[in-house]
Amino acid sequence: MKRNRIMILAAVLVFVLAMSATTFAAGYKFGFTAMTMNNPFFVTIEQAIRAEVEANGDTLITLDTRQDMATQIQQIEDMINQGIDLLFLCPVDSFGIQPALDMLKAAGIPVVNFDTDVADRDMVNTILVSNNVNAGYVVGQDLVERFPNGAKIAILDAPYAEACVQRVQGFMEALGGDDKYQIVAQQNGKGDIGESLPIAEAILQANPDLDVFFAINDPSALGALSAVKSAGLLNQVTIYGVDGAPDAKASIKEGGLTATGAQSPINIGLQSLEVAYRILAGEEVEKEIKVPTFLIDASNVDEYGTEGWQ
Amino acid sequence: MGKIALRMVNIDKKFPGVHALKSANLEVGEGEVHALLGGNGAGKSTLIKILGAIYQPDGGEIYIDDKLVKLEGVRDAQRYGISIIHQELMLFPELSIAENIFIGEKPENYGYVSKKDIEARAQKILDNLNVEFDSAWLVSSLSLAQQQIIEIIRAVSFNSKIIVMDEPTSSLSKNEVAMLFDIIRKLKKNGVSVIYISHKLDELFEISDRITVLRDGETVGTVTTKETTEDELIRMMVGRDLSNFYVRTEGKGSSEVVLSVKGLEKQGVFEDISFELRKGEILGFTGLVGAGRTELMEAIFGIRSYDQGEIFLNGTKLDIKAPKDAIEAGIVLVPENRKEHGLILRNTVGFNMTLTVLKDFIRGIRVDKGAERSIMDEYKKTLGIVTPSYAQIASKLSGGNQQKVVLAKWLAKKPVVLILDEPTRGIDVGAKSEIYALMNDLTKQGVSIIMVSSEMQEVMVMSDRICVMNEGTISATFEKEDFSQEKIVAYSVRRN
Amino acid sequence: MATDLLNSRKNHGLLGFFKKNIAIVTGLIVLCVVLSFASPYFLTRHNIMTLLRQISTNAVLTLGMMMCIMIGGIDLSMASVVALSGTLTAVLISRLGMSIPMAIILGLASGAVCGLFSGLFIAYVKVPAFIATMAVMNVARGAAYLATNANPVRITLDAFNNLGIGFVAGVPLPVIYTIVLVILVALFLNKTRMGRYIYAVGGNFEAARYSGINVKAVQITVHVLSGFLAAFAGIVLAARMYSGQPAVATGWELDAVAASVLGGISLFGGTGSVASAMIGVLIIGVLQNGLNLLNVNSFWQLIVKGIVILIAVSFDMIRSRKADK
Repeated sequence: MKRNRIMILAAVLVFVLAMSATTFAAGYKFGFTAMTMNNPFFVTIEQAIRAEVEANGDTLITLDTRQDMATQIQQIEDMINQGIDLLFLCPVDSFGIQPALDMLKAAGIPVVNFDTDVADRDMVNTILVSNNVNAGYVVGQDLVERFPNGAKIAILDAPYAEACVQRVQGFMEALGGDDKYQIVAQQNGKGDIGESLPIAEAILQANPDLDVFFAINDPSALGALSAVKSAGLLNQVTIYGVDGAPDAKASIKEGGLTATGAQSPINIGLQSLEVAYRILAGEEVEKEIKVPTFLIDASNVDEYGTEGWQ
Repeated sequence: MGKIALRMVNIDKKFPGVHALKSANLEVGEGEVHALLGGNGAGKSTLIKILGAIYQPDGGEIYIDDKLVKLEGVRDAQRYGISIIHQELMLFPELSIAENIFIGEKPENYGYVSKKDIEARAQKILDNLNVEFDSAWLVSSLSLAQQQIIEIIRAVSFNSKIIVMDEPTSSLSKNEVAMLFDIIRKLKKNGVSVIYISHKLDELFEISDRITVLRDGETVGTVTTKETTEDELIRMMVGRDLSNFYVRTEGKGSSEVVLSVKGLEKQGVFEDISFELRKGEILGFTGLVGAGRTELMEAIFGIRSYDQGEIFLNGTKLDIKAPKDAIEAGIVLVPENRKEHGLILRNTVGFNMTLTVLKDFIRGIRVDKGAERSIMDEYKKTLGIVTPSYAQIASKLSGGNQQKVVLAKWLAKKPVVLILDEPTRGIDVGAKSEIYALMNDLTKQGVSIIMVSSEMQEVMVMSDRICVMNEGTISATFEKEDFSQEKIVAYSVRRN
Repeated sequence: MATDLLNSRKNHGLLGFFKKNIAIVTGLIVLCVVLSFASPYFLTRHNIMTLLRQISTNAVLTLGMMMCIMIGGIDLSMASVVALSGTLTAVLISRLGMSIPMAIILGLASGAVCGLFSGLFIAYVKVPAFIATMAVMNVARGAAYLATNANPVRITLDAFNNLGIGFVAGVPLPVIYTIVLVILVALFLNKTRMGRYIYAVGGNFEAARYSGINVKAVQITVHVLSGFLAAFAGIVLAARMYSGQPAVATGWELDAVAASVLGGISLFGGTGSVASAMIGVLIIGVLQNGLNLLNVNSFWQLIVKGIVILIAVSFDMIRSRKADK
């Protein structure tokens, strides 16, 4: 039996080696870490970067942190030990990433920070973010147009992520602090469809006369949509997301979601990589690069298509 | 007597180490209520399990309706119309009576079962037996007795011709027993044969037509109920002579009372228990399985709670809430179920031997290995434990050696009162006599022993006095000179 | 281990340990050898220190988890307690300005209280450990979110943060804490009465009760210790992250279960040793580190980990079935 166990362990190892398909290419070795790889948004950024990186004969290492700050730090440690030349970083938490930034600095590895910015901005070479404030703002503007006489609004936020906080901030700015726009509920939907659905259901129970759901991202908005549909209130409740994800666009086209404050992960990826090569070439780069955001609704959804990200 | 429904002839069954049935015979007529009587271990349940095809016999023949049959599996037994109703009910409480009755039926109609259909069919059977239940009721809403009736009706619905009831009244009230007997009488009228197993003689006299008595795996005889007496039945249940293999060498102890129990009661388990245990004596506790002996001892040891009554040790009243309290006072219990309650089977012999006396050699994080070793050596020697090392896993030892390890654990604690519950169950003759010798030695040293035992020889030979328990009470106490098997059996089975 | 203790002739010392745990020790060695060939970075001093620091959290959690498994239970609340104690300590230091030692003591106490809670329900109400600790898992996680309003709480005191990132003689501090705790728990299990009672209760609950052991006290002690150890891990983790993170450590209790089972702690209770459990921790840690170094896709990593755990549990089942025969 003992011999069996050893055999099986050996088999697992062979399997692991086969999976790894390690390449020790001569070019640059980049690391990529985002808050989660379950969100197609980050997958799109990663794919945009990977396609270019591999076309150039360089390597990209990607690890999934599964939304866990401690895991992200550990994985960055492993990447440092692997000798990466530059890290593309989207932190799980803006503050909690600090120890990893210290280690990266000690190892002399430049960092391209994207999507969600780190708290200690001196520790990274550049920050590429979607204009998150604007993404919330364009949604807010649309709401004001549709509800000139005021509305009862519920917000599904994710208060631990800076980008999401900014979206809410932009949204509130667009409403202009007018009393006729009443925030009747604001809860943490964790940016997740499954988490948001029951929360949205509870909000609808408590506020049967609700006019608007504003969710800080599309998965959360789609969770709210399910809740609204099953309550039979689709004609009454307007639902906004942020991101411009393919399924959100499809939903807009079908008349589910009303609009989304869209960002362009492909552009974020491509711009990140471009600035990365400039850093490696020794060039000075801008500290902050804002990647534009814009509203997608039924009127322009076909321009961007519903197959993938824009 | 009409037609013979069942004949079991010269049934023989051996288990490793036990010859359970030697030549058991049973003959049951059609429409007869036939009682099966015998002491603990007489072979009643083995015989019934052979009839239900749960065991295969090593010899003998079974005839049903005068045809030789071979029952190779439970399905066979069912096909021949044999149903066994066990003491533990096998009903689904959250299903209706009708669903329970037809649960084993093969679904036709692509698995679709019409509720209405089966409820109507069940109702017909219920009405037929004059049972006033609605077949749509949930079983969980019925009393225990009513559930037992459903179990019986389920057996009837299989078109059973022979129904075996194993101690059916053990948990029923008087009224419920009457209800059960009504059903049995109706079954009888319909030509169904009932084999009725019970220790309760008064019930047998009320319901049965004939009684077959088993003893030590053999049929002693079959009598017609109307023509027999309680005394005759008891004589048949009791064996004649005892071997003199075991000897109680010590005297009957002093007259000094060590343990005194007064009016101990646990509702529904035992009541009005009063007895005294003298210094250096062996007090036997016997009675039928289920008489409440083990429960009583566990209450004295603090494993179970009791509602009222007092326990005194050397004149001091004890407040026993947990085994720890009993142990501190000097009362220890070697439980009946060695594997489940006596030993940590997965751990080592040494670990088990010293578990109760860790205080003697562990202080803080200092383990005095020398002291530990000497405790283990002492009791290994005293008890003659045979083990390759103290690191041997306890489950690998023989039953006798396992029992000695449990004894070692408690002797190391230097008890004043040692309660032994079935101390020699399932161990070989050699180990048995060693344990008897040890009991003699211990009483010589002044230890007082309570020995719970179902084995007549053991009780008769080793005890200085005997308490007989029957349905939760002490029905009689005998001094050595008054010991008699007949009397002991009589007090075990008679309703007071 | 109890076996080792009582048998002074055979199986003693290091050699005995290797003999008994030949399979997992060999597994670990094979794993390391393969990895050092497969990745040039694996055997670097820096990576080894990183690896040790990474596994220190799981090692501490496994110490608690193995005790719970040994008494036939489990502690699903550990990861949530990690989050609770870390965030609570962070809040006490950063928001309420409490002194560092006091905040740490209260952080540790929060874990012990969580364990006490589970323990009381398991011992007195007879709630299965799986359910009781699952309830506490939710309570502790909820409390961590409430205490922080779901936002991470930053700690700017270097004196605290150094507890997590500091070194002594080139060895990371968390590794040193872990070694100390491993030794303490090993002494506790092997050299104290309570330690033996834990083996007894896990080996046969009823027999332990019939032996006069206060089984409730044993259950409560084990869960309090488990909560305390989780809280310790949480505070060190908070120091490493300069912050209390309410969402941290999700699912880590299962890594501790995996390490325990790989390390030969039987799910049937009553057997196992600290040393072999630590081999389990090393296997899980090296596997994780190795897969990262080899750039194995994260989704494949989950699958590999799942398979390894399944194999380990299967062996436990087979082993115990053989032992019962």
